[in-house]
Amino acid sequence: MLLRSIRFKNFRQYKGDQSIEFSCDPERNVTVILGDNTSGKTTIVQAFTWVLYGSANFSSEDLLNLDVASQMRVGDKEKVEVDICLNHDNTEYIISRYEEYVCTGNGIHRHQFSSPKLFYKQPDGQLKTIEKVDSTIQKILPKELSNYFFFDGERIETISSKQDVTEAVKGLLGLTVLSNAMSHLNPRSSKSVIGKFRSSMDVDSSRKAENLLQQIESLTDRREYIGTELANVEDQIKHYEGQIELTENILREHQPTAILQRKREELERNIKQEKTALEDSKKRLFDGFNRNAIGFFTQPMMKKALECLDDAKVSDKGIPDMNASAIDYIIQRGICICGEVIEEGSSRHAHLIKERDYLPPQFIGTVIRTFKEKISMYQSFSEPYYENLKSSYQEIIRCKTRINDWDDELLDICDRIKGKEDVKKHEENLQDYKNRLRKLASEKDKLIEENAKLVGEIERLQRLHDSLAIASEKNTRIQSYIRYAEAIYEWIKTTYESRQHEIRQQLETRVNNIFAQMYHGSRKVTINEKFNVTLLTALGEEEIVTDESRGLETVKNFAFIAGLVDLAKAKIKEKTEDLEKPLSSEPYPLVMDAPFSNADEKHVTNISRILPDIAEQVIMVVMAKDWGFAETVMGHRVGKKYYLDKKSETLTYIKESV
Amino acid sequence: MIMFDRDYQIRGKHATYSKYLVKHKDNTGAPIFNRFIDIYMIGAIMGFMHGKRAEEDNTVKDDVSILASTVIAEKDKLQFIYRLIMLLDTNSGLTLEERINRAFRDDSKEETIADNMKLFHSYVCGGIEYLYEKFKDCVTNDDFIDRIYQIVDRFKADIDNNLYETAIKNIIDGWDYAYVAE
Repeated sequence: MLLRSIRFKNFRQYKGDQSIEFSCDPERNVTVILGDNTSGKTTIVQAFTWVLYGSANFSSEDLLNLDVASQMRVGDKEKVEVDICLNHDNTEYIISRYEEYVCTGNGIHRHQFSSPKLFYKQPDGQLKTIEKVDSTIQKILPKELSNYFFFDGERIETISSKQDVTEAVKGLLGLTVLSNAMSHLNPRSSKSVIGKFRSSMDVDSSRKAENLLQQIESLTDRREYIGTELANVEDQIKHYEGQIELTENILREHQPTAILQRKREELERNIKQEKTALEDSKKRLFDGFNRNAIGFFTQPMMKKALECLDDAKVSDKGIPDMNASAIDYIIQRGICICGEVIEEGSSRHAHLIKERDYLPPQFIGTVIRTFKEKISMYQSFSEPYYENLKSSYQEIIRCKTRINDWDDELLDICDRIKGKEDVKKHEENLQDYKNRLRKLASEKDKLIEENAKLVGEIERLQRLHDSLAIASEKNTRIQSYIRYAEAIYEWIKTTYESRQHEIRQQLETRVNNIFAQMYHGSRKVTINEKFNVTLLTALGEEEIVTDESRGLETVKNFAFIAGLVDLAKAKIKEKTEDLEKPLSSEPYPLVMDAPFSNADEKHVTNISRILPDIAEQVIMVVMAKDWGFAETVMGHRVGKKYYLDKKSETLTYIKESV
Repeated sequence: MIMFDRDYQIRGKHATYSKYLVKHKDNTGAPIFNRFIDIYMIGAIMGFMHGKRAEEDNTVKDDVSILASTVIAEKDKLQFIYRLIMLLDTNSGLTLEERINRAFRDDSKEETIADNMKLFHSYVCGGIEYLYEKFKDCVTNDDFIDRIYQIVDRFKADIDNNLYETAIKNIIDGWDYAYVAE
C-alpha cells in the first residue's frame, strides 16, 4: 500500500480544502511535514485513523473547524470531510468519510455522519463504489496494526504490547490466503465446504443401509456358525450310527451270554426282594411271640383255675363293682342312699350288714366273676397265637430256602459267564447311543429350520438394503469428496502452520537485526505466537524480561514495525519471483507523528538511517528541532516536504516547502 | 388292691439275664422281648409252669428298674397272673378255700401281701432263669427264631397232650416238682 494523498475539509484547524501529496518515489520515499507544537501535527495522523476506522484520539468530539462553526447561523449546515487516496494491490482506492453539522438555537450539533465510502478506480478512470467497506479496509490495513503504521511518538503508551495482532500480522504477511482457504474448508464448521458436503448427505438412508448391512453381516455370521454346527452334528450322527451297528453286532454274537446275564440280574433282583420278605417275616414272628404270650402260656393255668373255682362254688349275689367299705360308710353316717335313717339294731341296719357279706373283700363272688371273664378273654387271644407264629416261622423257612436255591443258581450262572464280555455294558452303551442319536436328530432339525429362516431373513434385508443403495451411492461419492476436502484442509493447515512458524522466526530475525542497528546494547527482541514483542536483557547466561523506558519502547516498536514492513516487502519480491507460492503481501507505508520525541540523538540518527530503506514509504510529521538530527541522515531521501503554518489556534495552513 | 403300683427292681444275675433277653434300643441284644415288664410277666408264668422258683440274687451287682408308670400300665395283666399263681400255688400247704382267699380276698391285707409278693417274685426269678437257660446258647437271629418256635411248638404239643394239666394237677395235689418241658 502506498498513500498518495490526503485531503481535509474543515477538519479541525485545517479550514477549507487543504491537501497533502505524499511522495511515491521509490528512492525519495520520505515525506516530511514540519510543525511546531499545537500546529496540528497529531491532527494529520489522527485524520488517517478517523477516515479508516472512524476513531480519532481527540479530546473533543467535534471535528468542525471552529472558525467555520462560529460563522454559522441558525439553520446553516457545514460538512467536515477527509479523503485518502491510496494504491493497494495495483488498484487506486479513495476512502472518504464525512460529518455534517447543523446550527440550531442551542448551538452547533453534529447532525449526520457517514460510514466511510470506498471507491476504486477502474482501468477507464471511472470510480466504482465498494459495498463491503469495513472488511475491505481491514484487508488493506488491519486496524490492529494501525498503531504501528500510524505511529504516534508522543502517545507511545497507546501501543499495547498485549494486543493480539496475530490476525493482522498474518494478513500483512500474506498468510490470509491460506487462512481463508482453511476457513473455507474447515471440517468443524457447518458452513464450510466440508460442512455443506456433510449436510448434503442422506445420513438417514445411509445409517439405515449401514444398520441393514450390520444385521446382514450378523445373520450371515450366524448362518456360518449354523453351517459349522450342522456339519458337526452330522459327523456325530454318523459316528453314533456306526457305534450302534457295531454294538448291535457284538450283542448278536453274545446273545447266549446276554440271556444268562439277564437271568443273573433277575435272580439278584429276586434275592433282594426275598431278603426283604424274610426280614418282614422275622419281625412278624418276634412281634407275634410278644403279643398275647400271656394268654398262650397261661392256658393250662387258666383251665385249672376255672376247675378250682367251680369246686369252691362261690355264689354270685353281690352288687357289681361295689365293695364292703361303701356299706360301712353308709352305716357310719346313719343315712341310707334312699334317705332313710339307719340305726344299729334296726332291720335296715341288719339288712345292710347282710348285703355287705356279698361284697368284697368279705364277698369275693364279684371278683371271681370278673376274673373268669378275663380268663375267657385271654383264652380267646390264645387261639390264633400259635397259628400266627407257626405261619411266620414257616414263611421264614420258605424264604430261606428260596434264597438258598437262587444263590446256588446265581453262583452257577456267574461261573458260566465268567470271563465273557460284559454284555450289559454294551446294552447300556447301545441305549446311550440311541438316546444321543435321537437328540442329535432333533438338534439337526432345529439347525436346518433356523438356517432356512436365516436365509429368508437375509434375503429380505438384502432387498431392503438394495432399495437404499441409490442414496447410499450418493453418500459414498460425497464421503469421497469430504475425504479429498479433508486431505486438502490438512495439507493447507500443515503448510500454514509451518509458514506461520517460519514467518514468525523470519520476523524475529529481521526485527532483531533492525533493533541491533537502532540500539547498541545487550538486548534482544522475542516475538511469541501472538506476535507480541518482548525485550530480553542478557544477564550472564540467562535472558530476562526487563522494564522498558519510553525511549527503549519507541526503538522496540520502530524495530517491530520496520521488521514487519521489511518482511512484507521481501514477500512481495518472493512473490514476483515465484508465482506458485500462495502468499500475497503488500509494501506498507509508515506514518509517524513525532517519532523522535522520546528518542535521543543517537537513536534518532539510527532510526532515520534505517527507516527509508525498510519502508516503502515514510511519512513523518515532526518538530523542526527533532528534524535537525534526522535530516543529516535521511535528508537525501525526502521526496516531499511540507510545513504547517499556524495562523491561530483555529487555523493552520499546510504549505509545501520548495 | 395295693400292689403293682410302684417301681419294681430285678437284681443280680436275674437282671443280667433280663438284659440278655431284651431287645436293646439300638436293636442289639436278643430280639425276644421288647420290654423288661414283658420278661417280668412271662417270667412269672414260666416259673410257675415249670415249677421254678428262685430267691433274689446278690451274687452279681446288677439291676434293672421297671418304672411305676410301666407297671401301672400293665397292672391288669400283672394282677391276672398274680391271681392265677396265688390260686394254683400249693407250696404253702394251703387248702383250696385258703388259696381262693389269698387270690381274691387278701388284696387289701398288707400283712399277707408281702408274703404273697415274695412268692410271686420267686416265680419271676425262677422263670427268668428258665428263659435264660432256653436261650443262652443262641447267637444269631435265626438261632433265636428257631428257639422261640421250638418252645412255642413244644408248649402247644404239651398242652394238646394235657401234659401241663397233669403237671398242674400234681402241683395242686402237693407234688413238689411235677413236669418241666424240655
